[in-house]
Amino acid sequence: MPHCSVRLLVVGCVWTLVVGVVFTAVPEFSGRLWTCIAVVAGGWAGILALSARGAKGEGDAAAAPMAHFESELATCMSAFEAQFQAIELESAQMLGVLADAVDQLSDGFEALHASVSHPVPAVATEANTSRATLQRVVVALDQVLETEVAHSHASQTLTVLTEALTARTQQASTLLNEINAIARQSGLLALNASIEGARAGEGGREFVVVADEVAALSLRTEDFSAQIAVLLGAMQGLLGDACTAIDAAKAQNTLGVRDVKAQAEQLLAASHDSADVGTMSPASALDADTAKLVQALQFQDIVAQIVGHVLARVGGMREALAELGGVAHDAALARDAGAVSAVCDRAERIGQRLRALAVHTENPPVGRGATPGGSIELF
Amino acid sequence: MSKHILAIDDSASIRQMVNFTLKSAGYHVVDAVDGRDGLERAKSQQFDLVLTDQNMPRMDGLALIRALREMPAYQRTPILMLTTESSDEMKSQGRAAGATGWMVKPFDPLKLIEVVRKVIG
Repeated sequence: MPHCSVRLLVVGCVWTLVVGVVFTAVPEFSGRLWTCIAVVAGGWAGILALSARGAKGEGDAAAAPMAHFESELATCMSAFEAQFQAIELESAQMLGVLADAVDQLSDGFEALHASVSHPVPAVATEANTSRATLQRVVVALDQVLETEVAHSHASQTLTVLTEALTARTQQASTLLNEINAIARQSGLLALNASIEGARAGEGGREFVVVADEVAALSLRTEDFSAQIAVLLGAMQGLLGDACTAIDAAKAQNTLGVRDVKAQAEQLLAASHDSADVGTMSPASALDADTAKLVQALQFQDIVAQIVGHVLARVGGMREALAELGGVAHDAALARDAGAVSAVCDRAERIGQRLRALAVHTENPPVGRGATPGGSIELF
Repeated sequence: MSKHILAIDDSASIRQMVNFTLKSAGYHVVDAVDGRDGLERAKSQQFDLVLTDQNMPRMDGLALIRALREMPAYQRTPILMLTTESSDEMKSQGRAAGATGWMVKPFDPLKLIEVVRKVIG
């Protein structure tokens, strides 16, 4: 039973007792039962009226704190709603990030598996490169061989020419010796003819004939000289041919050397390429796969940060809800302005804590809609 | 002599990955757990490059950049943001604060090394 009703009953009973005593003890009122009843009833009515007015006053006094309480409660509910919405957003964000992470991890592991288990393409590429390189080596060697054969032919020709030249030179030498011998004989004959012609006088005419013979020999000598000149010309031509053959051999040799050099340079470059293919590519592929996995691991970190953020929200809300439950219980028991005001203050403090929680969790650890990331911009 | 890099991030695993990536490229890396910690380390040692996250407790990346740019020793030092933030508005704020570049997480280790080499050699 409410406290005010007991008090009203007590006051009414006291009033009834007093009126009964007065009407019993005072002779002027004795026998006036209806008057007594009327007075008692009027007193009760007045007490009830006063009680009602007092209750109304107390209600008016409690109305304002209650309105405040309801306002604070509405604020708390709004704060809770905002936190729930934020949690929903962050949960959706986590789901998205996790999906990206799973996709990227799957891709990364597949690529890594392919790189580790099936290095065949790289090896095949290397083998093809090596085969092509070897084929070019063979071709280059063939060219070197052909060059050497040609060089040998040129050398043989040079040898034949040289031998011919030697023979002709010997012939020329023989001819020259003969010419010299004839020249010497011609000189002696001419001298003798002159001497003998001078001695004989008229009879030395015969010697004149001899002198003519000597003149004929001289002519023959001139003829031999001309032949020698022709032979020498032929020798010079042979020498020229020999020089040309030698030059051709030199040029062919030079060209061959140049070709071999060029081929060697190309082979060198090809061997570098082959080395790059054989050693760098698999390592680069592994680096790229590892980088992809490191990138995927960061998704996990992003999710962990968001989860931590959500946990902070949930923890703060759990404390606020527990406090709010206590406030609601006390508010149900509050029967005066002081008690209502007290629960209002507590509800206001809960609202303040929720606002602080909102500020604390306002700055998310991860930018919304950030993934998949990886972009770089230099200012 | 290897270049010194200050890496600031409140996430331990990100710090670990940045550290691993840059050390493997031959750089010397010092970690800091947030903007304020990073500022203290920058005051005690001169770094060739600062790599910082944006969203961190106590002091965020933009506040750190502004504080560093007020220090004579760091007026010309390259500062790269490494963050999940990717909005143009945030990038504009970073550029205004004095950031040298903006990289969005999750980062590609090979690209991180490439950018760092481009910036400090």
